[in-house]
Amino acid sequence: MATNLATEPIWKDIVTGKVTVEFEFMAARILQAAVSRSFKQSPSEIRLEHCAQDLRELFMQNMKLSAVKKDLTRILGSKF
Amino acid sequence: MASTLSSLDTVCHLIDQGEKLLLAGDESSLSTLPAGDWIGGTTPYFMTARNEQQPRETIHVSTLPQFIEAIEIRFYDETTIDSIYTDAPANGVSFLIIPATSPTHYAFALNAPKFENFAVRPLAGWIAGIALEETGLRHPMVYNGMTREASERKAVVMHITLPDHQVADIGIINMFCQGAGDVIVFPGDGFSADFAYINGELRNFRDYIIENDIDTRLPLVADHYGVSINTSMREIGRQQDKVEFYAPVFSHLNYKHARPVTNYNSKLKAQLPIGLKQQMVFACSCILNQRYPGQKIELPPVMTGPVSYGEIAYLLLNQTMVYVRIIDVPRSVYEQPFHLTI
Repeated sequence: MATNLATEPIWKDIVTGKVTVEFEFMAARILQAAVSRSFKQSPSEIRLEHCAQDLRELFMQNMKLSAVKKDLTRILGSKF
Repeated sequence: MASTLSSLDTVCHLIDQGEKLLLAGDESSLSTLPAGDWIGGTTPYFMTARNEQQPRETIHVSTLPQFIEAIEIRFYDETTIDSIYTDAPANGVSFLIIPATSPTHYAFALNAPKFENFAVRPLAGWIAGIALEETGLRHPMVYNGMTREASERKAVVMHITLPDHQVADIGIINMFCQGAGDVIVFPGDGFSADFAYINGELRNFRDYIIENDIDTRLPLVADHYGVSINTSMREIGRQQDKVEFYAPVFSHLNYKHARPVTNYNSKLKAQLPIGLKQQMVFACSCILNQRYPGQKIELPPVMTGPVSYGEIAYLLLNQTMVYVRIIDVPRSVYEQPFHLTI
């Protein structure tokens, strides 16, 4: 099934901590820590959008890596 | 892709042939190299399978693959380093070398996670240094081989663009994890600390280290969503009531003293991915790994590179090994990737 990564709410949920994931892809873990902290320090819709976009971009750019594919399967489930 | 210790003549030959190189060695060698597609940084120490002492003129060479589409070499200083991620190519990898104790080193160490597009694109590298016995006598240096400029203040970067069917992946080998001891929280970010909250109680950190006879050869470890980040102690203040670190501590993290590592060499091998030999383009190892208590470290032959004063894998690390591999992606994957849209 196709999904639109840009409109997926999961990225925002990860930034806010509503969804917690231990990613296999190391860069995602490091970025997750940074964006979650950034949002916590000054929470706003713009910041949330920006942080979610960074996470999404990381995954889009690295979808060729098997760790990324596994992580996407984990967070998007059957939509991936 | 090759990673070897080489003579000055061999390196000159590789540069003349147009090879794209990441170099590490002594200032006296790097400063005499011809212009070409290379960057370099000073270190007198190298990570090799045998870990033996090398002659001063030896240069460590990481030869980058021929299939690279484009490179860009440039300096960043402490006012421009924040754009390193936005300048990186969309499909590629950036290699960064920073002189130890330079303003750019401190700016990167303290602020990298706040940079625009942090960690969205792969960034790896190392902190250049000098021989321990030459501290205060010489400065760590980095080199832009394209212009033959050297700097003791700025960082040098090679941004590399890869073809669509290649992808770079950065790995961290960290032998340490948090021990079962006290939770340590620092009141501020920085390369030194005079106070820390120990299990919630504010104490002089130097006194805490001394009174508890803490082995400072083992780092403090913070857990970032499953990635263990080490901070190694550089000096327990003799003249001042503070502890200095090789990398900054951050106020938002909970640290614990590392658990001692048993079976070091077998655990090291277990962390190396299968097939690394064919994919490896770069590796470096912290100088503090050389002095791990009571252990002669055995490295697989594929793990050669500069011994560093800090490793870079997106952000500054300590007491780790970092490697970069470039992975071939099957045509079926990159031509028809996924049913995902943006």
